[in-house]
Amino acid sequence: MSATGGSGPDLLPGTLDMLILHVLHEGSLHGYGIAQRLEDASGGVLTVPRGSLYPALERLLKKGWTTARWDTSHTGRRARFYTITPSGSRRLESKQADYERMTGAIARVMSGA
Amino acid sequence: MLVHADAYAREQAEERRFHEEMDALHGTGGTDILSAEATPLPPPPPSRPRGSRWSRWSDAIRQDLGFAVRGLVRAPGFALLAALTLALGVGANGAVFSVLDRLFGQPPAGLRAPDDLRRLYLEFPDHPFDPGMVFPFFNYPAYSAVDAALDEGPRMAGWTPSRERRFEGADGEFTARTAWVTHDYFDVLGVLPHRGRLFGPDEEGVATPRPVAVISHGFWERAYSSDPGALGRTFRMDSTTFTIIGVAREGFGGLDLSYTDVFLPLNTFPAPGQLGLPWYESIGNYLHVVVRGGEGLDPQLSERATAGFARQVLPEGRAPDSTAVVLPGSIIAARGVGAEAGTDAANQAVSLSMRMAGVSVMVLLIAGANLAGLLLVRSARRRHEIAVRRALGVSKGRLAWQLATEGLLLTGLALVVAVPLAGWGGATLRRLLLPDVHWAGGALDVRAVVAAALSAAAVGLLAALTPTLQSWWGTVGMGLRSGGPRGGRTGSLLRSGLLAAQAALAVVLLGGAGLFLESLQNVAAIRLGFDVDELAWVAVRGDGADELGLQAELAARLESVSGVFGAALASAVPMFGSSGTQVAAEGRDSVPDLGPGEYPSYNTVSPEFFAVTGMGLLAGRTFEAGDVDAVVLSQFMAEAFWPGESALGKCLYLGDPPGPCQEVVGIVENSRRFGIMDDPTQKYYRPRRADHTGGYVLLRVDPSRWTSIAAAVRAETVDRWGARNVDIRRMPDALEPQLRPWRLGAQLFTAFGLLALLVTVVGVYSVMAYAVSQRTHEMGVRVALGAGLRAILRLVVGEGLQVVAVGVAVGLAAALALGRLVESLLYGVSPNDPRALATAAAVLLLTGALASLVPGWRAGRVDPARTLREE
Repeated sequence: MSATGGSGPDLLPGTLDMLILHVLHEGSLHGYGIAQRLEDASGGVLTVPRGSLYPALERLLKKGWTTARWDTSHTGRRARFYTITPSGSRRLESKQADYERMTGAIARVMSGA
Repeated sequence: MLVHADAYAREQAEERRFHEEMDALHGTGGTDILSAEATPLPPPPPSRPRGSRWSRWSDAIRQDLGFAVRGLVRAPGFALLAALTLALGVGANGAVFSVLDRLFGQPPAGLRAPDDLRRLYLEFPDHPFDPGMVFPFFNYPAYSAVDAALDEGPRMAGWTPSRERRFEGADGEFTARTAWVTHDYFDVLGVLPHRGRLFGPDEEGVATPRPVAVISHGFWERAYSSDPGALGRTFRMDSTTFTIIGVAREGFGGLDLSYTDVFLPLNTFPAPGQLGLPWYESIGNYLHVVVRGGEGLDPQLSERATAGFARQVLPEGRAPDSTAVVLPGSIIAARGVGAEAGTDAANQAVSLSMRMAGVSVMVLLIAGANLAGLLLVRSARRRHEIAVRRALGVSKGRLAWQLATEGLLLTGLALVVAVPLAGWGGATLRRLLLPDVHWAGGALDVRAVVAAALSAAAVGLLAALTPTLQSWWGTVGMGLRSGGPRGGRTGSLLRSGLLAAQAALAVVLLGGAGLFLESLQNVAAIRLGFDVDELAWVAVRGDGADELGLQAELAARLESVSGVFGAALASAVPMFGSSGTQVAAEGRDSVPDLGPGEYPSYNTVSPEFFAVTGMGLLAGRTFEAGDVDAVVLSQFMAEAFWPGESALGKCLYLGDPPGPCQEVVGIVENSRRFGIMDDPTQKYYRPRRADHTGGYVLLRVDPSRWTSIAAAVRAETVDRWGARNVDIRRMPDALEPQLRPWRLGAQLFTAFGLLALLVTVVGVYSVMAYAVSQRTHEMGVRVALGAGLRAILRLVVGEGLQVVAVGVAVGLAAALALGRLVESLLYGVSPNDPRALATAAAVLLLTGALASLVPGWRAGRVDPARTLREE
């Protein structure tokens, strides 16, 4: 899945799902919180546009990797909080392994060039 | 889990709204340029077509016009508001212009070469009461002396100012504004007959009455339905029967501001003479004078006329005032020397009209500022579009022209509304301000329309260029970048400035309205020395009116009319006539000098006079039946004659040689001679004797039942003396002309003040509505953060009030500075009256707050989720 940040780099396909699951692994968050966490953690490199984030969240929900419930955010507004499911955790682990393999491969190609 | 598609969509939408709000709150998230407000782009600038320069120009103009029309059609509310605002301002100006133009700009209609005519005035540099006084009347001996001195030079004519007179025609009684004129009047003025002939040598002799009449064209139409057979018809005034010999040319109605219906030869003038002499050998001042052929040599004309004036022959060896100077002046009455316009009331109406001009210009300025504000708002909304077009290569000049085209289009729209408005307003102003003035033509002549169009174009163009100038300061990038919420700082400052200026002008106008209202109150509250509202009087003329005991009999009969509380007899009605004679006082070598030929005035009254008029007794008693050699003095006279001691019991000797002792038995309230604004006068009352005839029956009536009382009184008198010999009047009606200028000032200033307020409120509303709409996003966030309607209202209204308050402060300062311009039109109130100014300020702040309330309320009701999504 390709996601384009306003000014950030292109992500590899499927990477956004992995990143979201990774963020949710640390605790439940609403969509905005996920986007902020990603941006912060990437040092501002990864900006997730809403047009990419919410389809991704929907996809994760449908696959059963996350659950969602409406709750009150710390500003007192209603928000939809996402929680990673056990199957989501398993998916994260496998994706993480894929990712490391892939980045390792890329790194080797790039450094060997 | 997601059963319904709808619920699903709703959930998603809400989730996204939340995200947007959070973005807004933390200033995170980017603005997607593609989702910005989609504004249809105008056609690209034409790539220089071949052909003449004119066709290129006309193409461009057509294109701009089409663009402007489309823009306005897209925003009909804006177009309507802008056009209406300007229309109000222009309409008000057109209305005032049409009045002023008639008063100051145009000579009377129907004259040949009016530039060649001069009115003559008399100036008295050493006048004992009023040094430098300018007087518009000549007595006949002076007239003929000046006429003789101008021999073989400029030609001279005279007329008595027209007044309502009663006539008896074949079809009954009628009234007509009548002037007595010298035989060469029409000839000197260059007025031609429409039918028949006008006056000539046949009417020359002043001592030989020639009962013929010339009627004006207007009167001929009105009273005779333009019947050619009117010539030769007759009508009667008193015992004289006049025959109509001619109709003057259309439009001509004399030189007075009021229209003259009937012209009669001066030799039929019915004025009583003095000292047994006919009026034309007496010193009664009756004649206005006009000369033709001064040929711009005013000093020479003045010199010869003045020399002539000094040679007049006066009765009893009196010498003419050797210091008097004859001054030539304009024949446009309102521009005459000393701005003489016939009466004090007319004078005041004229100066009021001039103030109205200033006031209407202020309303126009407010409207212009308002239009500029609206256009600014509009151009701010279109910043993005303008920036894009600049980026596309449209030149600044072309862009400015396009913006100006829109302003001019609006001006045109405004004119469509303003012209009929000006016509209506002008007619209303004329009726209110100068009801007796003859207005040649309708209120809406070509000059008024041109004036309205010019003022509209000037203000409209200036307003249209305001956003253009502002846009010139901006750069392309700025507009593109900040197509979003935050508008330019200069723009909002300019908008606020325009708004504050409107508020300031509105404060000035409302403050003026307050001053005039207070003046009116003060004038109406002046105690004239008697009860105005309850006083009415009946006069009987004609054969048998001097019958002994007639008035007493009439009084007794009228006293029984239901609603009449009492009846009294008097030789004069208070403030409407007086007599005087020489007065000497006991224990005084001299009496207070009132000037040559001036004596304290008296009124001979029946004992009921004081109760009927409500004139308050201050000391002693009023008359009793059987009083003969007794007088009652006004307080002012008592104090003038016996300062520091009681006048009661003292003797007054009347006449020359002095008569017997008239004992002062009472002192009553002060009264005025003629005008409600006059100072108290020396006045005394003498008992009416049984052998007195003539005079008036005064009635004390129930004002609320006047209509039925008047009908009953008329019924009691008319069948005996005939309608034309009975005059029934009420004091409030008789004093109305004196009160009218005050009432008018209050009405007009109030009307213009309210107009200014209306325009300003529209301005506050539109600017605040715009400001709020630009900040919908911010408002949404505030609401999202828990700000209630109250908090939002406080914010928006507070901001609106800030701007208005600045304007109010400036307006108050301006009002203080401008106060002296209206000072002469005020009575009993300082032009810096704190009450009027504070009220104006309060009204403006209050309406300013109300006008921001609606946008504020809308802001408070913003659906945060939606506004944030729309981002």
